[in-house]
Amino acid sequence: MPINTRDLDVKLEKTLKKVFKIEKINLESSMEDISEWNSFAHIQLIISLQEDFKIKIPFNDAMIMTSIPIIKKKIMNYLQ
Amino acid sequence: MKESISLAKHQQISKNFKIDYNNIRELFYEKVKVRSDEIFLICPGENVVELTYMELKPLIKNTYGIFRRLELKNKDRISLVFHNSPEFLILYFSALCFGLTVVPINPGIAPKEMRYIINDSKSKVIFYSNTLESKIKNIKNLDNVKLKKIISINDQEFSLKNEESFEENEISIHDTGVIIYTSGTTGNPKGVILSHLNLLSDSKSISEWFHFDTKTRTLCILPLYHNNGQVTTLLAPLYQGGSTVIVQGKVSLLSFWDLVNRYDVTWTSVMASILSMLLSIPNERKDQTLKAILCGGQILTRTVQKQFEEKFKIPIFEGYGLTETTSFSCINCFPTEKRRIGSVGKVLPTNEMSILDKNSKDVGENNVGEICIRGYNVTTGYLGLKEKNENSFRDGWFHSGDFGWKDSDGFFYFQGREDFLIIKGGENIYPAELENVLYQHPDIVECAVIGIPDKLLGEDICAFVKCKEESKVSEIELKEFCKNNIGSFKLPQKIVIINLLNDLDDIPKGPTKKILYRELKKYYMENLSDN
Repeated sequence: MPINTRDLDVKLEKTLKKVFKIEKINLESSMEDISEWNSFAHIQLIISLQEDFKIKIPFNDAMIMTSIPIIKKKIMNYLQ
Repeated sequence: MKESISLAKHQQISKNFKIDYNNIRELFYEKVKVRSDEIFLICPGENVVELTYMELKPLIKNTYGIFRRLELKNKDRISLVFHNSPEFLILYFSALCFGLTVVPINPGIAPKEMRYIINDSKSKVIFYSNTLESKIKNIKNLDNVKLKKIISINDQEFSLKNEESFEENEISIHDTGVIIYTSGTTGNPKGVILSHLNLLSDSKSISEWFHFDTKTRTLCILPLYHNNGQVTTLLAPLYQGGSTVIVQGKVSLLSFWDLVNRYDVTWTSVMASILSMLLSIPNERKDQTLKAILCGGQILTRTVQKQFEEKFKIPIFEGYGLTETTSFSCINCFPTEKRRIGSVGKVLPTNEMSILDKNSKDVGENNVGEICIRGYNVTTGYLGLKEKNENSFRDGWFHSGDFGWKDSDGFFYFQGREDFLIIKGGENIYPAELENVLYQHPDIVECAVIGIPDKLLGEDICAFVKCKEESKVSEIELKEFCKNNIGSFKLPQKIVIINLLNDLDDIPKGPTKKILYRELKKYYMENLSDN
């Protein structure tokens, strides 16, 4: 089911805050900017994205989803 | 080893160990000759990069052109700030073949820490990944970074187009190949100098220990800015003409079994925390190729080893080594039935090991003492640290600061360290690194940092701070303060403000006012631990 950018942002922000246990998040950030984004958090993030958006993330994509803009782009593609 | 050698005392061994090349370039060129069209490097991702031995060679030669345009000369040092990537690999091999010294820098450390390494190593050029632009911007703004140039991999200068030809620089087996920075007791990291001899001898030893051959394909999931990734899963397969799949570990754990299966991986090397993480996720093994896993750098508990081997049916070979020994200096015996579980194994052919007392006398079998190593894989020393060198390299041995024992069959066992080094997910962190940062906070009067048990990472960090009486600073504010001043992996999981505790008035200290870290840890375990 396609999703509009605004809904995606809201839903994604919720997932990111839940996974990283932080209160504020900049949707332009990357792994380099968020200190809570460690290897274990990345596993939790990919699992949560799959559950929250009901998508299947291929392993090659899981390795490049290292910034929020890339994650948004990929989710848009999966949902189209 | 073709070149006549003059070795430091702590690099000499009584046994015969032959090294077939004078430098990494000779090794690589030889493999290009005999393995030309075979795959050497695979970098999975959105666009998979696969390079044969022959395909890598012109990329290396092209990069020589970049080095020349930057006026880099033989033995100059360059810093590389990259996660595991094709760009890192091309620059790494090009620099080693050109005769430069590579100073790999962990992109996860804070800009201030990067500045220290760049200045201390006197790197003339820093190459960095364009994905790290925001971090590098902070380095560029720091006053005293004495750099010749800072080059993004997107710069025009880095285009890999026209092969240039010119005479190769001479490289001695004693020339420095890499300088790897490792945690230091005083808070500043120390540069471990590793020569071509060190890199060649350790990679040869490991590859022969496990019978690597041209069919060996390793998965390099550990960061290439550390020694284990570089030696065990990159140079060791290269030594035998094998291949390696390079991924960024931080984002690849969920894909671990898919990667092993997709690329027919036969070997990998990990930290114990990676095994714990793989056990904690529901993914199943799919391949039939992975023969074994090498594990070191952190204590591997019997429980994790047993659970992992039972679940995934893959033997784990525990080993022991330090940056100062290039990578491993002893590994459990291969094949599987020769292992002694709980031991870190027997000595590699390239070095000797002994358990010594404070006067450098052998303590004998089954007695605990300091683990000391000498051999071709042992560094010549720390960069510019005379006193530290005199203390660590004496009486013909490298004194590791680690304690253990040896049994009557020659198997070594690791017990622990005398100092308070914290090993968090395989990263070494000395308390002083974080304490130095905390002391910069205006409200903090005193602080002490300890390692606390963590199921996945092995250890995490807890800081105890004593604040000024009038201070109202919170744990969250202090964590935020640390974030801006130290690498993310060195951030404390907990900051305990002593002023808020009812049963601890002060940081425990001995008669000479030395902080009693063991007492503090005992307090934490009895009063604050969740376990």
